[in-house]
Amino acid sequence: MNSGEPISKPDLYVLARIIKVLKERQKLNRTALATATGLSYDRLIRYLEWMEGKEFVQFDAEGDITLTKKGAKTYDDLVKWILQYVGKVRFPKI
Amino acid sequence: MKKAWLLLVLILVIATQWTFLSAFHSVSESQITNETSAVVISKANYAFMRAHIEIFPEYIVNYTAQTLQQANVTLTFQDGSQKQITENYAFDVFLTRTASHFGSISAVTPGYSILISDDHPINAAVMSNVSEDFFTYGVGSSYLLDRIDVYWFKIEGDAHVSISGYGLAI
Amino acid sequence: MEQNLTAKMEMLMTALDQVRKYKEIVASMADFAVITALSIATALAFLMLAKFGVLFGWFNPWDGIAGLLALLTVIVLVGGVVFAGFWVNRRVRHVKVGQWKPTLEEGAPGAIKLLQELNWENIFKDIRRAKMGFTIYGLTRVFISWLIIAVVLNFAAGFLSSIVHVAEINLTLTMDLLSVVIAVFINRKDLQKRYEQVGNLDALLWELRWFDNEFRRADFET
Repeated sequence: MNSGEPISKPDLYVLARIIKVLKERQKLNRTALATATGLSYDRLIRYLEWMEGKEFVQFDAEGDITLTKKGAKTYDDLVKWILQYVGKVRFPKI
Repeated sequence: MKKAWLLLVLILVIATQWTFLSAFHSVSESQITNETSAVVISKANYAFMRAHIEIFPEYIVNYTAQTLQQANVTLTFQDGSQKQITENYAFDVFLTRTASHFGSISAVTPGYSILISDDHPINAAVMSNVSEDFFTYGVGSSYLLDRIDVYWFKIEGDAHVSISGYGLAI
Repeated sequence: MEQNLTAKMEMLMTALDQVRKYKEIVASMADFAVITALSIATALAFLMLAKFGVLFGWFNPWDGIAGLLALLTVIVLVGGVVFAGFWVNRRVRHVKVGQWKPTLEEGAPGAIKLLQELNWENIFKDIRRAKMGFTIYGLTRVFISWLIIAVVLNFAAGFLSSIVHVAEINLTLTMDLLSVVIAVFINRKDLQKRYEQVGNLDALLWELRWFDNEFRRADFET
């Protein structure tokens, strides 16, 4: 499944998109996931490799992708983390 | 950046216009004359001036004819020419710029308070009951006339004289 | 939680849209000044033409042409300022806002994308410009109001003095001072509003500076 340079620092937006789609659709094959996330196939594969290494996603026998509990938690942590900062900003009426 | 330059140019134009507009002056005078009177239009020699003069001879009652008629008024101009009027009469006088002047002036025609200065470079006055000396030694004299220009005429008779003067001092 | 995030992001992006509109007001101040200056220069040209015309006997002060020139002076001056105001308004209305909405509809990923794309240094610069712009805007508004009121009052005073013959009294200074009082009075609410907006923009600047600082320092560990 190796498809080029490995990802050193992933784009949080791409990561969040993949996880969100997997959360909503439960199980998808690579092509359907690439279409749903709007990513090129090659880019998706590189992200999936990286996510598999971190145990965020897993592949079944048919090659379909599912989100792990760790992956779902990471997504929730990411949202919580951003909210921790954005939530503290007060917006004066301008 | 282009707008900043355009604005700068416009501000300079406005400042120039404003300065130029402040060089315009106006004066108005309205008087009743009787017997011998003088109308004196004066200006600093560096100014242009137009004066619009209106003369309304007084109405008198002719008891014999039971009518209302205007008085006989005689105008005598600087060159000695005369004009008889028995009805409303108006004319314009234009005094051109005759010399350049630098520095301030404050001129008073001899014996009569026709004040000309940088702040008031034009003047118009109607003087009632003046003596013949006024025309000979007053406005007629050459004293100070290198600094100011004077136009005058004599009015004999009862009338209402109205003068509107406009000047440009540059 | 995700809804909380998108709601907060919506507030942030709306505030930034508002800053963009304010920035446009500042940017259009140059247009406003040019149009106003152009109308003042044109009005003064008409006034000069009227004065020259009378002086050199092209027409009399009581002629229709002199009246027309006086009327044109007022129309050009007032019309120029009104047009400049419309022009600024038009530019502000054409500022594209809410372009972030489709991205935010994606939910948390959209919020992340928007946060990643924000250029904080430019935003802080825009807020600072908006603050300065409001101060200039408030003062310009008072000045322009004063100018219009002064022209109208002096015009009315000139007309009045020609009727009641009070030419000996110099009404110009009185009318100019009265115009200042009226201009400040009619703009008092706007001045107060601008003052509060400058304060609120200041508060927003501090809040966003804090956010940028904290958010940039923190790193999400996956």
